Amino acid sequence: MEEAAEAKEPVDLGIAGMSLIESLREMWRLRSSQSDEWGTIVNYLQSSLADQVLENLTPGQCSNLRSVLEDHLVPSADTGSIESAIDLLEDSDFQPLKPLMDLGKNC
Amino acid sequence: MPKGTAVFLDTSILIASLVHPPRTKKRIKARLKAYDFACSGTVVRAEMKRRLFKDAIYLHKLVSKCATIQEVNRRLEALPHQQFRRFRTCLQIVHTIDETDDDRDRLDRARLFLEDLLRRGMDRIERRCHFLTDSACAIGKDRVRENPAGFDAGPRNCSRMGARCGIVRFLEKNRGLLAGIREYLGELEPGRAPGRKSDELASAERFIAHFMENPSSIQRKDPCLTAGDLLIALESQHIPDFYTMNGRESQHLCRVLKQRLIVRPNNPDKEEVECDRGAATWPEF
Repeated sequence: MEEAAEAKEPVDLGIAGMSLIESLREMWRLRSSQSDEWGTIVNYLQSSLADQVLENLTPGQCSNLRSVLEDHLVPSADTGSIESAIDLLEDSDFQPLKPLMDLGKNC
Repeated sequence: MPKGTAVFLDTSILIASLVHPPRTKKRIKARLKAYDFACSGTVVRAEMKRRLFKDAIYLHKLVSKCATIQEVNRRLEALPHQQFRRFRTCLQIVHTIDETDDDRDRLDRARLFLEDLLRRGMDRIERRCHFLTDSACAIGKDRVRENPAGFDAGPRNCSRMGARCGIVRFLEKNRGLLAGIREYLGELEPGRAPGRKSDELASAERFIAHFMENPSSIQRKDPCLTAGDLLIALESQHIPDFYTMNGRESQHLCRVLKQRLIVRPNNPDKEEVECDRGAATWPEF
């Protein structure tokens, strides 16, 4: 994805992005065999990509997605992994916590 | 307490730093960078529990117990009208994230979102914010607890905290300041227009009057619940800058406390309004 984003190849980027979405879908189906922390990170990644036009992702966004996948979505994921995942996703303008935002509007 | 320049964050800012869009969070982070440290108070924590975590606990119970989205909707429809409307707006939490999601997936996703907020939300804030404990608010000191039945925010009323609640002693210590606030509020014109005395400020004024006359019975009035803005102002008194998303009450309380007021609009594209201590007039909220 990063290569496609850097090369400004939207078709390649879209194809790579759809593969990622499919992989995350498979991971989500495996959540019961993993920890809640791991499931939470998968959920945040899926939530981040839910409303994205994959073809428009920037190299920075792709790089941060890779960091979350490689460094934090690990079987030993813990609270620190979740915090880092949220920071990386939000730093690149994804909205992993979007479903919680209406809760904030009521306050 | 840390040393250096400080800003006090009220409930609206702490909630926004947890569950508002990333652009708002970035604006808040950028503002906080100008200070050596950010702080808040235990009454603010109590308000967060009442306003954010209590709703999250209710929704968590719903999505954990219900087998279908339809059942969630049915339960919400059984609530009194005002609460029904409030929770209906939260149902984005069970919206489809992946197109192959079924009800079980959607409920499970909502459960994970809420559990993360309830287990780690307060820690997330404490990493960036120092909490002042002068008010000794017992409700604010207690954390949201997790037990086999789910999450529990604890009592919401000061009157149920007995001797653990330190608010009366805190009010006694600040009697002089309260008299000054009462005098200022007494001169304000009541009304809904910007700059006027809001219902909340009128309630704070009555609260001070009651305290001055019957300090021993004030705990039964549930101070944190009925005079939150006033108590939060007292908690912030030694911090020169006050940061909020709601200038309506703070514009007056900060004036009395000689603080600089910074108001963050809801729209992250809008600039913050800064009201300096020395300025003769402030914008009205």
